[in-house]
Amino acid sequence: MSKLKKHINREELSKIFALYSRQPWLLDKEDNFIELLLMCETAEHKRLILELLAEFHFLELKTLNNFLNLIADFIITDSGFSESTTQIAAITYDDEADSSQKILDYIKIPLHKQGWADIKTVNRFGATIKNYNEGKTQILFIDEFVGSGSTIVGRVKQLKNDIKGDFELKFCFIAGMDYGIKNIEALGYEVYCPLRLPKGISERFVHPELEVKTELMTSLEGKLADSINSYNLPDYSFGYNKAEALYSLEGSNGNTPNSVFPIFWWPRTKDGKPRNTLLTRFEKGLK
Amino acid sequence: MSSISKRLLQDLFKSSEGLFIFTLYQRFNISPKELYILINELVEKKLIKEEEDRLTLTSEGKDYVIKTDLTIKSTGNKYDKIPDKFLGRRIEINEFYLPTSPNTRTDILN
Repeated sequence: MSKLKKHINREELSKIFALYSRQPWLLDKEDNFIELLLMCETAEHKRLILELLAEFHFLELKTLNNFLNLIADFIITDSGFSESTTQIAAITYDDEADSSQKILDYIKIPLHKQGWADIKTVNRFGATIKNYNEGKTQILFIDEFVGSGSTIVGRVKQLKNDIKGDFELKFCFIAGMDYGIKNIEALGYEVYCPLRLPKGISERFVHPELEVKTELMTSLEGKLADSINSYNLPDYSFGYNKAEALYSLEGSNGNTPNSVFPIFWWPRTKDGKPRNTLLTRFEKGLK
Repeated sequence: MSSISKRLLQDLFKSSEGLFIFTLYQRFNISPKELYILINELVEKKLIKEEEDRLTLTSEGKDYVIKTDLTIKSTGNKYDKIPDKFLGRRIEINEFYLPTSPNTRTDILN
């Protein structure tokens, strides 16, 4: 406690109090939060962390349910798709459980409540072709979060290759990076996403502050382990594909996307010691 | 009410202009979270109010401090606070009394 007392000045305490009001989930993670603050060598580092956390979206169950209802409403009312010819599919490619399947399962109840009780759901990307051949030509991919959109762009390419006939394609996400969604929209596909996020640093700060904040985050990441098993920090620097996300579904028993700044979830310090991180990212073998 | 809550109210009572939250943070051995929760509880009870990082007692808070004797500084001696039901008649000097045998020195009894 005394170490922390010396580490926090009056302005910072005021910001921490404001942060607790805005982000009450931090109250349940005080040890992790304090450890993160103690990692900050200067007041500028701490200010950056506090500023980023103030903008963080930590989805609680109530918010998630609201978003699921909005997505169900879009699918039924605004997508133009009909129940008999639509398949709602996860983008899951392999046999590992993922959040796309989680959201696919969650959306069933709001859809049922809003009138679609006979909708076809598909829990693997590969199974969409079989369902297309059975008349489900309106394909709606659903996922929890989209970062840069590169995975989705890859899936679109593959789908076009696998399906020879005509099909309609739309996307729904709980949350996503605005630039990633625009990458998908640029291909000509409609995207519905109730929570569109700007990049945490590069779309919130402008020159010359932008360069300062970027340097501060780079030096903070310098305190993290360069690699853990087969995972290399440079691949996740500022979030995977530099997504700079400030978002997690942990408040609703979800995972933290790798698009989030690794300072919040990368599990080891430079000298290999485990960190008591603010957020948890499940990725096979990353510990 | 917790002892730390009472101490916070006492400290505010002694400070006519109130106290900065940071002053209380330095004074008490508690974390930012504990202080945040403590202040929120007292604000909800309308005993204190917060303006620009400064805490002051409300009129209800002042009444509470006076009526609950929080203004009386404790000596820290537990024998100063013996409940009435344990207090008997005070005996005179050199007055005879019957001691409780288990607490009496055995050499006197023999």
